[in-house]
Amino acid sequence: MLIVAAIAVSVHAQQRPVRDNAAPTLSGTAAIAGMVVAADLAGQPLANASVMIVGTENGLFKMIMTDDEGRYEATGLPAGRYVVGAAKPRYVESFYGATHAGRPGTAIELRDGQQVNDVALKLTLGGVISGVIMDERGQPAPGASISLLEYQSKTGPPTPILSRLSAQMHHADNRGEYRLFGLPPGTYAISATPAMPGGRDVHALTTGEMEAGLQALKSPATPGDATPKAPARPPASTVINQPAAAQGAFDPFAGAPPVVGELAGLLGAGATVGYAPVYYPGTTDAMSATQITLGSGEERGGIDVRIALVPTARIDGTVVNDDGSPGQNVRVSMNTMVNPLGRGPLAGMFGSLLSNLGGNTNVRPDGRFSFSGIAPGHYTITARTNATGGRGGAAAAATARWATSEVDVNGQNISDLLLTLHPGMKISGRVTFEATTVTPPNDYSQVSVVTLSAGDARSAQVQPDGTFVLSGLAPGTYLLGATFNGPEMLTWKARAIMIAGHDMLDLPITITADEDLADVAITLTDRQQEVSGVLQDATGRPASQYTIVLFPRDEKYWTPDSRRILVARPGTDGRFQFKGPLGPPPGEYFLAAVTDLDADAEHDPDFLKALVSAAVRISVALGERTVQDLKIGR
Amino acid sequence: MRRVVLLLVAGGVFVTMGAAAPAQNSPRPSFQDVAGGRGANPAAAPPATGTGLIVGRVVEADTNAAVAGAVVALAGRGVSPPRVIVDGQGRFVFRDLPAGDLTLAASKPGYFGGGWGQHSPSSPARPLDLGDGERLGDVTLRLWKYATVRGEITDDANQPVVGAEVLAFRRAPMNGRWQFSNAGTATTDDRGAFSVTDLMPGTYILAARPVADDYQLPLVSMLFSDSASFMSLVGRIAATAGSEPDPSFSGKARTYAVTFFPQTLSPADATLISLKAAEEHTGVNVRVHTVPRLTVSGTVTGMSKADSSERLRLTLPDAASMLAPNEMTVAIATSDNAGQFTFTDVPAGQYVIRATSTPMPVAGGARGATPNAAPGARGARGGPLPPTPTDPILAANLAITLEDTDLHDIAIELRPGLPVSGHVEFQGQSMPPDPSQYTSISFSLAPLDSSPAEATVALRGRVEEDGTFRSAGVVPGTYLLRMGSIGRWRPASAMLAGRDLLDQPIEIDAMPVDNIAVRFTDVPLATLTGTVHNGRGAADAEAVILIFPTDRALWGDLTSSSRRVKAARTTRSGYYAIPGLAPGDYYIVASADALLTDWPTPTALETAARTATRLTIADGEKKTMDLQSRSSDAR
Repeated sequence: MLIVAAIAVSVHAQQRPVRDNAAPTLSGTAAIAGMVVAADLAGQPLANASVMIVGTENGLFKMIMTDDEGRYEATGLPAGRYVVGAAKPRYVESFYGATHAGRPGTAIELRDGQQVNDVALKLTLGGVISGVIMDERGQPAPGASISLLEYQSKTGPPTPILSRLSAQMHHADNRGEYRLFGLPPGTYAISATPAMPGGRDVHALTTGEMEAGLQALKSPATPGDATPKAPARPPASTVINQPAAAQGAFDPFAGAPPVVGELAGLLGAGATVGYAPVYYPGTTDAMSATQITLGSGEERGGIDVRIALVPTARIDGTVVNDDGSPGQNVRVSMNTMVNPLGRGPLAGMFGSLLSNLGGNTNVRPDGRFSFSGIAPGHYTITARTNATGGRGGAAAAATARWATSEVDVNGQNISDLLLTLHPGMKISGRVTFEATTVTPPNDYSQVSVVTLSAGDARSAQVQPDGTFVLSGLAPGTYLLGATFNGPEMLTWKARAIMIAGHDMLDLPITITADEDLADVAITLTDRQQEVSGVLQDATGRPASQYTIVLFPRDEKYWTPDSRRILVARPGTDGRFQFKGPLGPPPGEYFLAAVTDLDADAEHDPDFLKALVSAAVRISVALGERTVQDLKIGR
Repeated sequence: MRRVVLLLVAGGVFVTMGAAAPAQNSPRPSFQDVAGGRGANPAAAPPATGTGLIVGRVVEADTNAAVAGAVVALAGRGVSPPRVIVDGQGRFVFRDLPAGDLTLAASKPGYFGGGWGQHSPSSPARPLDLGDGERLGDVTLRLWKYATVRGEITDDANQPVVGAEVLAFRRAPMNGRWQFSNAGTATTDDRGAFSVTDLMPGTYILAARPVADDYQLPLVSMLFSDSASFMSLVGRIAATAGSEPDPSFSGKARTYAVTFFPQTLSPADATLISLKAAEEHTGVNVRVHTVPRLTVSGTVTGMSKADSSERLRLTLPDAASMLAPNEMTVAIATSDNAGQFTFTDVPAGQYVIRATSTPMPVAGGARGATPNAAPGARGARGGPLPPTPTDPILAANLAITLEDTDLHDIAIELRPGLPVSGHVEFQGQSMPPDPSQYTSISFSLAPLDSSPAEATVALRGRVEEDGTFRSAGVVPGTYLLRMGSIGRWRPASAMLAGRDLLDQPIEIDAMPVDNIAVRFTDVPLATLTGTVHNGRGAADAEAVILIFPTDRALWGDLTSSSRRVKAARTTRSGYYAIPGLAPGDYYIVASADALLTDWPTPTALETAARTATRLTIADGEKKTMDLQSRSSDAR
């Protein structure tokens, strides 16, 4: 990647207060027209492509279809900045001016009455991944659902997360075949989740059980006769001494996958089996999936996935208070996280779809709980008293208690997991509004205080008087935030979260055992910041073929999904801007121009470090509009 | 047809708001509740046990080969053992079972059937009545492989049509006539190829239609990095997507009309595709013809209330019979307060615009007889029913032809429907009900053709104290009249011009239908019982008994709910019982259940009649008739 040294054109960054734009008009006299063509040598026009025209400031949104010659035209547009995108099945969606598919495009600046006639959009043919899903006997597995995963790798070990392209469900057909097409170049993984009627705790008959049944059939028939019989299933609380345990970890993919009879024999009487999501070529561990690197328009066949039954287990346990009495009104949840903390909330959202979920349940009056049909994996089991159950509000929340335990499940039942409830930690404090143009509400209960941690988001409603208590927190690392719920949700943003004299907004905080966090002062403001400018090339003309990166000077904010790291493309007039609810929080920043930017590269600390030497320093003050023009150096 | 997928746009909002949304304790709610937990509930009651034993095998019906990997579930009163996965020979065992009726069924993805007692793809499963301590060693559960249809969709330039929706419509008897309804869908891939899987055996037609051009997240979300005022953008997208098209954004885009295999716009001209179980029917290639993509707009008038909005449907022209009404719909529009409506993205072709306006039911209204009763609900026991709606259903149908330009200023005028009326009389041994109780007698009209389902509330009513009944005005078409009972009195006949409307439908054309004479009787319907033996004189535990009228004039109008056509199954001892028979002359036959395919269409009745026995059933008779089953070859 080429980093371009940009110099500040205007030495003094201008700062003006941000004002609301006037209500935009949605009709006018400008027009955009052009063609959609295939991005190959022939450049064949693409009929029936969808063209999307979006006014990035006025919010105008239109979709039109190209005609037989691949042409489109949008007239009657009000002056403003427009982004134009195009899409067509088999092709990768793209924006006008994008350096390559999947990246932001160049905004077109339109004056009143202006006609821009040659806005050409080139669409690249997408790649294809296809293969066959087979069961453990090599037979097609019809109906298995297929997921496409993308790798996130800029901020840690490459981790597959469910691709946004996977929004549509794909299923293997009657031959077990699947075909995903129109894929942008990139690195992917494939997972298959076999269809199985009824879930994951199907009893696998052993040969012994089958033989015993056949024997019983032959023995003299006397109604009520107590034929000696092996129990069809063991009592739930019995721990089964399983051969699998003696052999070490059971790996259904080591060697030839066992068929059901063998599997049951390996596992012992009473074992249950099920299907878990399997990653290409055949692993239930997402991190061990084989990466599939797909070039532009490349077709990759033979991405076959072999599924296999895995032993599933039952977990029984008890939740107790620290005096040994059974825990009451407790919810127990069990889950695996594919994504560790640090992938960001979006990754968490998609990633959680992939985890081999155990489920959640309420404990019985005797404090006992159980989960069944649990596929092999590493799980976290968390018990938490139902603080939100009643109308107790703050009082109930104050007494919330928690317990957690990690278990490795591998087909063996766990019969007596003991979870001892501990008092949860508390975060308490007060919320204040810092209002300039909008009148703050009298009732503070529209505000929620939120904590984010690995796989968990918890929130507490602020009391009408502005105080809050977030309780029942396990020790760990959290991001603390506040949101406004209601029509003005975008108006009020957290400006500061003061803890012991330090502003911890956007920074992780650590909660240790037996230590509550009090007197946290959260300030919400209605002020927004804006950074804008014009990028010029060395000759002083507007330069639009670059990408602008705005990032904090302080490296502690260089975190994944940081809202302080922002990227924009200049428009045709060279103008770029960071504004609106997604504008930068106040602070000290670097501003840099690069020729190109891979997806997510801006969150890679190494990349940002390299960018510093080519960047311009700017300050973004609370509620101010900062203008900083840039000029490409030699 | 164009729309924007906003789901993930909202996801972007969620992220930037600091993950505020999943406020309570469960950040991933829906999945966890689905996934586990089932075994976690405390057992409600101790499971019933006994000494019964079932050993069996799951086979593929046509080959008798074991189906490895099938899952067998058994359930009965107080019994719910874990589901079992069969062994390599397809075998399974359930032990310690109490006596009683059990449901037993095998399943596997890609297969159907599997229920105990299913001998053919069309036969229903039945309960297994296990005796005390009984041991069954040869229980066979049969699975059939679904059929698949494969093909390619190409346009008139012989280019593959990517992302087309492919629909397979299966023929099935519906209210005594054949109708095709959607049984499977697929989407063409980048080569234009498709496979519609999981199809039951039967007769099909297949169609390709253009699918919504979805904009997915990647494109829209990228705007966020442009730091646009994205919330307002999202709001505007939601507000403008799919709304009336702006002429300044007119494309000359083309699309194609719903096209049936091999290349016809009319379902009546489609080539029938016959599918057997496990069949993979290839080469079902559809050629579509591209036509202009147009807009149809206009005004609807004649609404019962000013500024009410109406739902309009643009349907294929010959909606009369072939396809279920909803599947003829090409586009839907809702009129605004001024009655203006717009259909967008309509392929050029011939259509019918249909509008139906159903008045709000009167319950709780000014008439106020039973203000709290739900419309059509039964009154308190013996009490009066809600009054019959009086406001007519309003409807309009308008045929249009779209060539190569948009159609604007179409005027559609809703017209009131026509009422159906008559009176009741009582003939019997006991004391007839007092006229004051007549208002607890319900009647309804069940549409047999294209009337939209939302009108059914307005098709219900009650008999008045003077013994008359009169429906709201209904859309012209074909209807079945249904009359309720009162006490021990049941409707015996509903005569109109020599036709009994309890057996034959009413045609409502251009005139109201009046003077229907409904006679009630206190003689209960007849019951027929007996035992079925097979050719070797043994009780036939697997027979189907079919009884139907000898009068072929009635056959075309029989429905599965008719009082003159019944089907029953024998128990494991060969016993059968058929209650609810109207008096008359009948055919009866005990057969294998293959005859149930397409039951009770005239074709199926004709086949059954060939081997049937005649019998006459008198009013209220309790008759016993033993039968010999005809064929066991289907087993």
